[in-house]
Amino acid sequence: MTAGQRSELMVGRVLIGGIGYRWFGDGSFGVLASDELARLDWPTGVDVEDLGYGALHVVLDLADADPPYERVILIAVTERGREPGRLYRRRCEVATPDTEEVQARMYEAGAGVIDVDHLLVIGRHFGVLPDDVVAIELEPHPGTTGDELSVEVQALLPEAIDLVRQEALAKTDAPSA
Amino acid sequence: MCFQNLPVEFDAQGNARLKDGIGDTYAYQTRDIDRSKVEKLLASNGHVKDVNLDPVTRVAGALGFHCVVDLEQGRVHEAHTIGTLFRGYEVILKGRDPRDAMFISSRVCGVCGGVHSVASSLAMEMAFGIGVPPMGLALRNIQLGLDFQIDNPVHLYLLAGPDFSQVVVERTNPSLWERAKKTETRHADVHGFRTMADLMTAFNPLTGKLYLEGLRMTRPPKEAYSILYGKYPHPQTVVPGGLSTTVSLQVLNETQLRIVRTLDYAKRGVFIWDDITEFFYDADPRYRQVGTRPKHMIDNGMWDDPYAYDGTYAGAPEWGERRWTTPGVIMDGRLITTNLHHINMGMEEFVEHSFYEGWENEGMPYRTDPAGNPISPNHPWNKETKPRPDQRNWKDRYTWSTAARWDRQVVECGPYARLWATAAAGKMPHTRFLEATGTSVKIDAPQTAALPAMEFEWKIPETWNAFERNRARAYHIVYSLMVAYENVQIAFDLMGQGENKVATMTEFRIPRNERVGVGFWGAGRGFLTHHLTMDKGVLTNYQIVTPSTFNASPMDPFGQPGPYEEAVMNTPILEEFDSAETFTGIDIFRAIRSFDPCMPCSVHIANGRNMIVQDVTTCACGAA
Repeated sequence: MTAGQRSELMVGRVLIGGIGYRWFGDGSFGVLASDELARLDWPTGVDVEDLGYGALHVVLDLADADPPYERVILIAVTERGREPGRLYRRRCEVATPDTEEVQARMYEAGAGVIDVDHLLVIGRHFGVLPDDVVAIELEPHPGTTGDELSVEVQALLPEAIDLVRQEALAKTDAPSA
Repeated sequence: MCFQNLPVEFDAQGNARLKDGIGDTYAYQTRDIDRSKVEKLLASNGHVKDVNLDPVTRVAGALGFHCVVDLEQGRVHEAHTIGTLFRGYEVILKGRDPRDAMFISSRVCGVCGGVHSVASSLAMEMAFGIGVPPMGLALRNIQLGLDFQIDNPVHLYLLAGPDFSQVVVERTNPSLWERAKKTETRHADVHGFRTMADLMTAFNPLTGKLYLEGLRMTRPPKEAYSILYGKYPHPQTVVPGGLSTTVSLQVLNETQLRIVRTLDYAKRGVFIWDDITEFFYDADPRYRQVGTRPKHMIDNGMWDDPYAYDGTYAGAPEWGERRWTTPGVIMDGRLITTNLHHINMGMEEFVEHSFYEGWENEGMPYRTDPAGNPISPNHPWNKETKPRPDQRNWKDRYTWSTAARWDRQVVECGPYARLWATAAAGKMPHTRFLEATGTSVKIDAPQTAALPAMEFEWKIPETWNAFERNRARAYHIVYSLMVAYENVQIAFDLMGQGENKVATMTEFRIPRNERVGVGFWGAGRGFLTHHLTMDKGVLTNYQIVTPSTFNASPMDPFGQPGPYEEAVMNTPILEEFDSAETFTGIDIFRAIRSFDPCMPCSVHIANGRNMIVQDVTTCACGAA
């Protein structure tokens, strides 16, 4: 068995997805990071996608993934009241969300709102996400604007790429070689 | 006579001109809003209530609605549509290279971005003086047929559908639910639901068969859309002059496969919405009044004839009438024009009750359109977007939507306006699968996996209301699919002839002199225009008028409420409730949602540098 084959077995089926809008200042961090990640070499089984097309549609694609993904790593920009301008790693809940929340997020997603939490809630409801979901999130500075990333956030891209790469290659429950 | 209110007349040759003898031709008196009667009712009757639906859920974007309802008499005395957020794309686009517009304006909507890209491209083609080769136009038509296969079903099954679901009807109208349990559907042989209760249960959010199918069936058209246009919802390949992609036999085959797969589902939808509509009418004829308003509508037509469209303003009346749906203005149910020049000339936007400054003191850059027809100082080519945030006041300003009007009359838009104008005009020339009869449109849908070949006929309805809007939308899904299907056949033929050019081969540069352009187009929700002016190679003005600009408009300066407001004020309260606390407002919701509202969801504050300081981007079709 070659090193590459061992690596594939270790990694399994992994989806790396950037979430957000383009031309949206620092709000585009997720999709720009996934653009960078897509340019890297990855073991077979690792897919890098721009998931900035809405939770309803992403969920349908995840449901049809064959074989299903064992691990999903999302990169997004989300305000959660943390110190802004920093990256955070968050292991996403496995619990099924309550129906009211699912409905509310379905309607927003149906109206075109792109949001990492919409994907997590709707994805969990329809059972299309694996238990192993990690989000690398940027806590944005409020009120940032412009077509491109700010200089400060641009400087965080290498760190985000490194974090995602570590996550993607560090499979914990892969079969032993 | 096309115009009743604008100071425009036509000579014997049909050329428009301003009427003689009128001083300040487009001047008008603003009528103050008088709330004294409503305030008195509120003060003296405990059963007359202020009802605030804010936000109105299950619509695209941020919509609030306020009304004054007499819970005893079952009447709505007053209604206000509130666009709660500012869109501001007009501010963002000013001063930019015009080619930015097709990408940036696409972000107006997170559902139907493609229609904005195309409308923008049409406006630029006019301004630049370029056309599109037939293959490019056929592919553009396919794209918009596919776009609507996401937009319209999402509305019918995920947004409006739950209003007719078991969980809603059983709670809001228990007697109706009891009747549904005993009523057999008319079309069980097609859709498989034996009773109306079965059908309503299928509309239940998250669990209903139709709800889930509505979600799942967005996938095939989205796949086909992505094959041709790079990505949904914002296409990457739409450019002025055509498309920046290549087309192959495989691409067309894959597209056709998905159109046919969607068609099977679309055909069933017509029978489902026929059953829903007729059940409510039979149960209580007053449902015909839910969401009713005058039959005043507007549409630009869409899907250009690959051999007729030349991108010019001068040619618009001719190429407009060659579209797969005919442009038109309907007044009191009567078609009064199919001429795109007339449609453009009649457009105005008013801001007396909106959070904007007027622009009347800024001069009037354009007194005529490029064909010499007079246009108003309130026309989009003359309008300026000047936000003025303020406190909400029902007597003054209460919304971020403007009051878009045609000939100073309140018109609504929707896919039904598209069908109506086409049916009434009887001019639609593409008769392979479709026919406009003067009173209806006929659709020949081929055999599909589960259903035989069928002929559908959408007839201009006698009454106009919330149910007819939804029913027409179901027919529009089949209609637009057949347009896409026919354009795939045209693309196959073009390919067979070696006509594979998808974009203009005319060399052009971005003009440096002053130009204007307008994209006459449509969204899944109806009428859409992008008006631009440019000079020295950059945009000097960019105005987007969407379906919800008309539909969600507030009171205008002439004292006329907007379409949602009008429809709600005409809606009888048929809900069964014990007290104000258990009143849900379902009839009001059905009236509003039947328009498929699509509201501004972008919080933008202009800081004077064409920038925004905060933005939540989603569907922003409804703003000013």
